[in-house]
Amino acid sequence: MRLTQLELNNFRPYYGRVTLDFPDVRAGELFLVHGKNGFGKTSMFSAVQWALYGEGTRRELYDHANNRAKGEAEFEMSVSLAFTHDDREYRLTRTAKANRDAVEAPEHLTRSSLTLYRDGAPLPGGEHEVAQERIETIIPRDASQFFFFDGEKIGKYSSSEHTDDTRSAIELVLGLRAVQNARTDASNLKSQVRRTRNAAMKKNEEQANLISKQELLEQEIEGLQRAFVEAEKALDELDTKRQGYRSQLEELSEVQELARERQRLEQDAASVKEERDAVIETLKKESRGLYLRVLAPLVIQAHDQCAAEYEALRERETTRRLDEAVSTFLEKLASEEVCVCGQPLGEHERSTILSHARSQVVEVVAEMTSAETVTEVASRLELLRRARLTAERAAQRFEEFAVKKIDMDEKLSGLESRVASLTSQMNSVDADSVNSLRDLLERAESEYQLTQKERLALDVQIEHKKSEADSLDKQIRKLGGATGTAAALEAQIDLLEKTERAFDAFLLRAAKARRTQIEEQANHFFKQITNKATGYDSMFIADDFTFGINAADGTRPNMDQISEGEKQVVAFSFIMGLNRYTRSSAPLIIDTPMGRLDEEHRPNLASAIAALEQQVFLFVTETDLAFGVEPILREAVEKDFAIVHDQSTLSSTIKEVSR
Amino acid sequence: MADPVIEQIKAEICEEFEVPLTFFNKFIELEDEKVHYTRRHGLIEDLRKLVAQTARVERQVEPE
Repeated sequence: MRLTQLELNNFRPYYGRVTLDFPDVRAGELFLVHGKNGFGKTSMFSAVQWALYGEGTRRELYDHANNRAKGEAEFEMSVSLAFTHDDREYRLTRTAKANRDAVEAPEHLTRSSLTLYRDGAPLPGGEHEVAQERIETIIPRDASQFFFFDGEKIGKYSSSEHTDDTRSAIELVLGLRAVQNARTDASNLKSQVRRTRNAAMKKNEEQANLISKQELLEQEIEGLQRAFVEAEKALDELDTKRQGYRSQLEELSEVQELARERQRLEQDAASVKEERDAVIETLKKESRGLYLRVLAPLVIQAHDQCAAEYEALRERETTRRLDEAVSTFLEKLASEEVCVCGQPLGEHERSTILSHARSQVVEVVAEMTSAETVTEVASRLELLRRARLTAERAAQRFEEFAVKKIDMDEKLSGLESRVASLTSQMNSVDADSVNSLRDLLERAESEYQLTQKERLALDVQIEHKKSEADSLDKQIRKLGGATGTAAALEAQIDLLEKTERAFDAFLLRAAKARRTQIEEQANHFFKQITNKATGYDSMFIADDFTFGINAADGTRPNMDQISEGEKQVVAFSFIMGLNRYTRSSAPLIIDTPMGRLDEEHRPNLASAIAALEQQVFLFVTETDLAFGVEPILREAVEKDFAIVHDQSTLSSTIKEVSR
Repeated sequence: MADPVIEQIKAEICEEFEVPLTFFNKFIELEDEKVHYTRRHGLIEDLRKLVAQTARVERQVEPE
């Protein structure tokens, strides 16, 4: 199975249609979908699961629906997946509609329906159930947990409490479930055939007694088997119930995390508000000097005029001084009666010189300005220079604080809108509902354990009674008398007995062979990812399907005591190993792959993912790409999608980006 | 695609327990396709036919 397109319509934060195309370029293609918390990564992950397997409850369906679309007159929610499988093209679409104008409660939505097209045509007999059966054949629901998973939650496989999950996963993914069912059916069939044989047998008294004992035993076995099936059913129901409680609790924890984030944002907003108030105060103070801003052009004009006046005065004074010097010089020439060349001056020259000197004096006197005037203009100019500087500074400071206030207004509005967005994502969650859910979960868990024990006891009883019936059968047959039909039926019983034993042996040997192969592959991944390349020698999967680590010093650390990050590494390695041998091929879709990993595990995991020869989708935050992860993934990334979230409408959409 | 390791185990087991390999495979194959029986409820009937047919063939070749 290889995804070629995903289309969401009014699903969770995705309002309207959002389409993602995945081109088929090469075998090991990697796609990134990144966005911040609460933007819609997990929703996209849920969309794939809903499209494939539908909803558990109507409430779940209601929660999937986009809030904005719920209020509209015509509501339809759908998720469409296009994929190729065994060289054929499929498109499945799951749809839910509103049965009234506005969707205000779960019952206003129809249960989802599924359509499946193969090579462009509807699947023969392609109604909902058949389509669902076909999907389950392509990728079984229980096996999907090993293809679509949350990096933060897979650590459970490493815990000793979950060996049943591990065993069951291996049996399911490797197709051993069918062999187990075959073993059970062979046994049931044997009882049926035996009853028919008994009816057809020629009976003597001893044989008749044995047959009636055997019939009683068979009745008891049937009763026990019915009780066993009931227990299985109850277990399934309890499992669904506890999974429901777990996911509700997880959701509540997520909401609590959102509440914590909101509190942090509110604190940030409060401190920004405080800072902004201080800026407003400063602005108020600065506004007192605002008249200077108004007067600034006049002050500048007066300053410039005064400066020009002062300059003119200075030029005039210079000219006057020159004229005075010329007049003094001429008077000196006239009184000495000798020219500059040394020749004595005649009366005519003397009189001309004197006349020039006198007119020069007249000009000097005319140009003379009082020293007081110059000083007064100079001090006026200095005053205006200072006034101009003050006015300009006041205007500049006011501008600066006004810009600062605008920045803070924007920051505050961003924070307030984020707080509003978080508030709308949160249901009213209080400690009471968390505690009551915890109680319910605890009760469901203990009921589950109890029923599991009962089922195990029933299984032991059934096996015991069956072996009793088998032993009686041997005695019945020893007494002989089977002819014709009865003899033919005995041959069938023989065959079924041998087959039962063969199935038992096959289950044991196949699981063991597979376990070894999975362990080998898992170990290959583990060595690539672990941050204790020298401290840890290998990982192992024991006969009872518990995981473990072989340390280099020969010890085996207690798996319940290793760090959550290490549990995640071991579980991821197991899943990768399992994936290699699975009968169903499907893309890997991993939400928050880096989960609790440290800065050393992260690039190691990124390299292991980048080298995978299968389609991989990673739903990441920017934090997941930190610590050198991004450059490693970038080499392998086929397409990178960013989730863009509009806080005013609380809707998300997808944008293809280039890194 | 058949897995050689698993196929080898099947062959060994069938020889060891004297069960015809084709019968063993067909039995699992029918179980494997159980999903298709959910609407027909005929699995046990099909298995019974398979067992009857195989036992008949086995009896014929069995020396008296």
